[in-house]
Amino acid sequence: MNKIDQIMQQDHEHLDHLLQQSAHAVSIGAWQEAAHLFEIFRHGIVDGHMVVEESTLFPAFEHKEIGDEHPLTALLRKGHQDLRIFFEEMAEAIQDQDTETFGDLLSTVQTILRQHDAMEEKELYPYLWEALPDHGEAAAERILASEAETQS
Amino acid sequence: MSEYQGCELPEDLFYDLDYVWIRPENDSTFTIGVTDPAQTMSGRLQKARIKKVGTHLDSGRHVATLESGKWAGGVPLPFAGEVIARNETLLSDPHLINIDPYRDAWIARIKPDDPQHALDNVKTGPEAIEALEAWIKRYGVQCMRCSD
Repeated sequence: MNKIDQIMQQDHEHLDHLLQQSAHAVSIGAWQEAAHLFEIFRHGIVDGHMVVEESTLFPAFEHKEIGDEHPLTALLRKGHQDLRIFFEEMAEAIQDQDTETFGDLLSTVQTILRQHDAMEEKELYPYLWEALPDHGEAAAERILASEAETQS
Repeated sequence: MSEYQGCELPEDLFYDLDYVWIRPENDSTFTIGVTDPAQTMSGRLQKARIKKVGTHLDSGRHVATLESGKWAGGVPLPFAGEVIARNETLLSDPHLINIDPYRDAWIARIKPDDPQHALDNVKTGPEAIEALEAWIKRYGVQCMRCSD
């Protein structure tokens, strides 16, 4: 496993942990804490992880493969688009203190993330070291900076 | 009925050019469901959650979420409106979506906030079919009909 591969995979684990912390706060009715933790998670995944993937990693992979949109990255981009909407809905469920809706959304989002992350870890990340001109150094730094910002 | 890569694409429906089809009804409401290529990509559906009747949704929000063993995702509403009916059968038998996505497996009926502009962001006819064929090609979908 190369460095960028390892760092992206670790970031998945970091983000899963943040989501679990928020879900735990919901489960005990600590709504203010849940909102705070969920925002940390949302910021880390949307403004950190997804931005690095969409701006740097996906284009590098596409360029290496076919020089155009690839079915894998098309699917991953679509996953990001769907997740952004789900995150808004989850934030609203916390705001409304709606445990049932949050639980339903959490179940769906965790399923999406599990499948999405597995696809990235198996089919995308192992090829990034070769695809990126700097072997992913800059992207790795951005992810590590995002992780440092979102330590709960 | 157009067909591409085994996927049925009725020309008289409206599409968000992603997962969703929309059928205008005579009473200014709209029935929505998921397309044949979308149900194929999702795999055998095992769970469907549909928003309750009376729920108001902004444009782009999910009116339903669907899950299979290999996939989960939302069904976004292409316009703002209120859920006035939902297909209760799908809650206990979500696999029906894999069998009959355009007829028995409709998902919800929506009363739009602004009926005049409800179809502003969706397409129909040859333009829609062409875009859906590109969608099928982009995701490498090959439809196969489920019979049970």
